[in-house]
Amino acid sequence: MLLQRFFPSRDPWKVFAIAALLLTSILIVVPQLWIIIASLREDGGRFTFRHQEAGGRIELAQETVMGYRFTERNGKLVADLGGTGLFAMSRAGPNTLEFEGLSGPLTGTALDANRLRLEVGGRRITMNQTVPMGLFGTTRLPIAVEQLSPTSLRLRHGANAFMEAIDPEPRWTLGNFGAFLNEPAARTALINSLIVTILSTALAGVIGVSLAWMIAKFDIYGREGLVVLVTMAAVSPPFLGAYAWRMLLGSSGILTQALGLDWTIIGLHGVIWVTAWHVFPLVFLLAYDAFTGADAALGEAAESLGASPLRRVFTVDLPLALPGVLTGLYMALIAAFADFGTPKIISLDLKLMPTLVYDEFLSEAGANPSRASAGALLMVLISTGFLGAYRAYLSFGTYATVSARRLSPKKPTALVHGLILAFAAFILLMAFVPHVTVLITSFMEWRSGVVFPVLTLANYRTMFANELMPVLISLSLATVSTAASIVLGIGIAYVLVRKRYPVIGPLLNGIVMMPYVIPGTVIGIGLILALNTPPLVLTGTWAILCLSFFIRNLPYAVKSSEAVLFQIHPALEEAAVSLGATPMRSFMHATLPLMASGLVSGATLAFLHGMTELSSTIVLYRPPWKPMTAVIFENTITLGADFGIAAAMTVLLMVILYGPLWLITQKTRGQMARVGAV
Amino acid sequence: MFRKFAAAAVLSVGLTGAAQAQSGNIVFYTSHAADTTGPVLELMKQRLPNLNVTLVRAGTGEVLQRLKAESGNPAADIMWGGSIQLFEGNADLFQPFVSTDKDSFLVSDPANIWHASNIISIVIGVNTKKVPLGETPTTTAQALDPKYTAMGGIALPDPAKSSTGYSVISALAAAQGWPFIEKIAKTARVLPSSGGAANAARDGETAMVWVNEDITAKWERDGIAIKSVYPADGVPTVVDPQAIVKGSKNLENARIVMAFLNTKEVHETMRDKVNRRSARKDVTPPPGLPDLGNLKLIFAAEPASVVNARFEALRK
Amino acid sequence: MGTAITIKNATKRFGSKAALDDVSLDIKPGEFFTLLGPSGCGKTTLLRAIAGFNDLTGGEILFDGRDVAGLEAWKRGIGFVFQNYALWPNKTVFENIAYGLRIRKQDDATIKAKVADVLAMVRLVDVEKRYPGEMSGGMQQRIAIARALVVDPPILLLDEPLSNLDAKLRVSLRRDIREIQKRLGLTAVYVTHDQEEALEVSDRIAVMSQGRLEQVGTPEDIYERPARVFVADFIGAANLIKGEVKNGRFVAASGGSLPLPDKPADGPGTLLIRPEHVVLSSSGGIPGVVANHFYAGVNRRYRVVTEAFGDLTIDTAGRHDEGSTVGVAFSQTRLLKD
Repeated sequence: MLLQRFFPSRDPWKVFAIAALLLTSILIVVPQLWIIIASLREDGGRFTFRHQEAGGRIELAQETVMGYRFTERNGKLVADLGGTGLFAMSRAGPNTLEFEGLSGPLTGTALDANRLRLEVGGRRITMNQTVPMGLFGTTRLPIAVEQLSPTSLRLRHGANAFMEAIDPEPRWTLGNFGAFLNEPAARTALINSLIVTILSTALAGVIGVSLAWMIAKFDIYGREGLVVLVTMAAVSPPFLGAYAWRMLLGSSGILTQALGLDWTIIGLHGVIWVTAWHVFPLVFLLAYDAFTGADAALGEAAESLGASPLRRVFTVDLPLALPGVLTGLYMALIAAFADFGTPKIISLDLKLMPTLVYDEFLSEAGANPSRASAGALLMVLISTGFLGAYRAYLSFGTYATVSARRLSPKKPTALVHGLILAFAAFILLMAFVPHVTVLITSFMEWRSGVVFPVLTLANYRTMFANELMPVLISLSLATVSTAASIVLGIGIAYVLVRKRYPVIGPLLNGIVMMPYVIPGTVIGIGLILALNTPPLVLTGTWAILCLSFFIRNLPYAVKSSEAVLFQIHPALEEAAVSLGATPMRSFMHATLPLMASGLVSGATLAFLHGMTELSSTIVLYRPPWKPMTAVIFENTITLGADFGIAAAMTVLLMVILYGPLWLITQKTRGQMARVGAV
Repeated sequence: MFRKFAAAAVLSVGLTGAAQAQSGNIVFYTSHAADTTGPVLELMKQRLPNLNVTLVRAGTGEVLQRLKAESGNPAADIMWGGSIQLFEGNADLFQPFVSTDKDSFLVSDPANIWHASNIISIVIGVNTKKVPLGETPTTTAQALDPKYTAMGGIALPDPAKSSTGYSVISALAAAQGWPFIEKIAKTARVLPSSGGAANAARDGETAMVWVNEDITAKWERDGIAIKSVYPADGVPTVVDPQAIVKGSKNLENARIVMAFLNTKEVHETMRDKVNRRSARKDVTPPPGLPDLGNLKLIFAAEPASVVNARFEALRK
Repeated sequence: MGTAITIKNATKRFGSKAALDDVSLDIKPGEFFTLLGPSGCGKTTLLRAIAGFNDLTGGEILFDGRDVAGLEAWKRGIGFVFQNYALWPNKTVFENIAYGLRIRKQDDATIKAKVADVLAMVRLVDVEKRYPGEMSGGMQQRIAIARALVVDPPILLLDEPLSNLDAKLRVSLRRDIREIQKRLGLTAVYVTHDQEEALEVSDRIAVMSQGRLEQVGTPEDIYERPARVFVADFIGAANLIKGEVKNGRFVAASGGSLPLPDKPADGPGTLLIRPEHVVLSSSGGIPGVVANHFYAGVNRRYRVVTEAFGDLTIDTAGRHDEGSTVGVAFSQTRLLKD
């Protein structure tokens, strides 16, 4: 085998580990390096000026000048780059300019009727002429260049033309970060994002932890069903909540009008509210696990020592469950911070980091991948900060309890039972308001993006007639990316848990966990930057979406595989080896079959992630590879789009999500969320 | 279905061999709304039935950004909608197409890059639930009155991201000067896309919005609480063009479709079904839209680079 | 016939810590050889190195004189029995045992016959279709042994196979293991920390401590003629009295002294006296007081406090009340000089 020649090792796992390290470096680290590079680059310079006939002046649009500096000397406009004069411009008659090189030769070529390339002092400046025209516009003169001497030329152009000049030769700068932090819009976005992240996580924490504690502690009617329902809420399609809440409680929302309110959910408060309901299931599921997993004897000991029930909650139950609760809160925090769909729909003109970075990356004249990259890096940094804080706090005092005897829930009094049921019902109602709203409106008529109370199947007919491709695309993406991440995840987890190679192991672990803190939008931008140039051009393909989903799922796949592996004794495999099975065979025969059942929940989670992925999809998708979430998104936010289709497709997506989920949760409740714990 | 999937696979890998006229694929990038493109696509299905059409819809800026990102390996064949300034400013993304019918148009590109489709006036769409009837502004200057801020204010699609926004700011700057734009920068609520802005006013999240006249006309017909105001102090007016993308993978089809889009039949369909004024001299204006002769039309002058840089500076 | 195993200067380091420190051994074909020592002494590391599960940092392992360094674990043809049985829970008993035969691509009839044979050998009937999870620990370990034996390995390695079982089961199963090993004539290397188990089943024992070999010998050698204090202390109960040799006498640190039969050289030393080698009488000998006593079935165990030799543990059948004055004499002593 060729590989063997390069990796002179008789341990096939080592070969795999090195290959996995290479692959993940290319897919995960390299795009991030591209982002870093992009954030440190800037065009060499740009400026726009106009040669006005009236008055015969060259008017420089000061706001457009970047990189260059201009001064007026003897009626000439002198362009200056990095302290040295580069060239001078002056009027040489009607519609005519003269350019003169100040540090060596200056030559010019007309590229087409409107564009000129100026080469001077090692720089290549492209100038594009725009001539303002009204409805019944004037004819324009094409540009013409006449070289006067090796260092000067004469340019004829259209009357009153604007000349937009770009020097695309990049220069290195830290200015993008400065610009990002100095710009009020960016600063506000940062602050808004932090406010939303913290408040929505806090709200989700209060909701999730209190409900989890209640149903862990008391024997509540329909307990298991409740947990399954919350698990379902955990994998809602993205921005479903945002749009539904806007439809209900916006300025002219259904409920707003029905109740005659003068208010709107649009704004920061709305983002917080919707995000909280979006992320609370994570907190709930992990807290519930933590509460039910704690050793009952510890709580009983506290009560036997005379602690009041409330005191017991705060001194024993909560601290014991703290690692689990914190993990849930941390996951909620990261999810809230990176959520793109909700702010895109609810925040209107308020910017948050994910929308700002997205807008910077995909905007036209402001086209600023550099600034977007700076913002993206900032997001990764903040995200990493959250992770650091979480880890530091946990390592600062954890109580590892192995449950000896699980808490058996108490029978509550009728009153308590009623109150808890009412609370749970309220939470479920809020969690499922979006689902119900979309389900109902998918059967109603939509005109001009407004729902009319007329029942119809038209939305479904239109969808099935025109938009089935996206269903196939989403299913294929989710399936392939899940399979790939699980297969690689199993291998990587095996290497990390069983082989513990020095250097390779920790490095691999670090790289694999990176996507856990990188927001989806940033992963998308990184992939575009890295895969838009030869040798590998994947932008706009199915493959790049699949790669993104794969990368985003890898940490979950590895962590869930690790969790399963920890439960399988290495001796099972050694037994096979001692009986003559090669390492690969022994792994396949002894370990893999035992992992399979444990991985079902991890794989389901990955599949559901793939089906609902939006934040990287939105940057990456190109026709014809349009997943369901992109169709829903397009039909939700673009003008005159058919929201009926978005609603029908969301319902279809929910069917695809909740069918398998329901089956899985019957067997493996709780593992779903635990898998995500780092 | 699967054939379509397979066709898409072939398309994206770029293995389509010599493009055969009138069959195969055509990919539009458009900033037009679905109900704007719908009728023309319907007609196209009849006239060019063998074409497999894909449409990517996004804000003008996003579309343009994608074209830039993909230059060299474009996924699109035709960019549909925007402003001529935008097309001219990015002329290197497109390739010329010589129309045989150039003289039938009110306006045409000497370089044959863009081809005019519609002439659109940008009105102020006023949500009548938010703004009491007697207080409907009649000029742009009035619409900036602080009293409207409490009602929700006026939404402006970000000039850097929407050609509507750019056209408004550029035309108003040319007509009324930059100090007037400063007032807009301090008053208006700037939203990332024209769709988002229009929807916000329709849903009453803002009181008003700068929006294309055909949209508000359609909304008024659909019974939505929106009124179109043609400001007496100047109505920004744009020419809405289309162009063939440079390096189009289905160039033959792109030429056929472009010629088709220029036909009188298409322009009449746009007028009849989506209320758009044609850029063709031989197509009468749609009923219900005011005669252009009665409006004070204003036009964009400064290019996007200048307008965006100035506007951004004013917002700080 | 079993395989001879030779270990030369085996060393294994984990970082700076040596799990095995220059261990050399010669295990004869067909021998029941035990590696005995407290946990962390390196016995399991050595066993796993023989199996090929770990590499050595230095040294060689030879099977019948052939270096196995380049031989991967799956090619060594050894049988391995694990402490936790390591049965595959998803396979039936039959499939567990048949695995090695399937790897060797044997036909179904042969597999069936061999599985039946080996099950009979470990005294299990009618268990083929059951799953390991449904069976007791003792039965599971019998199946694990059967699984290891079915491929006729020349070497059987056992890693504390009985430590998860209760006391009575341990005794019967270890006797069965020895009987099977002798019947098949294979070489067995047995790791345990239980000295009683080691003494009973082994042909020879290697006592290990902190990665080093303390002593290798027959059970009698180890028990009666321990080479070092560690061995004497680890195997069985022992009175170890610190002191020195002077002019052919042993002088305890606490003051008492004894003549030594073989006149060793002068120098510090420790005197080993097994509890059963102390004679108690109501008078005469070294005076002492019975501090307490425990009834232990056949014998009684006493703690007697003497001035000359400190506290002594004594096993004897006779009765002495707590607090009574007694005379102590030693029937056998051994001087350890380390």
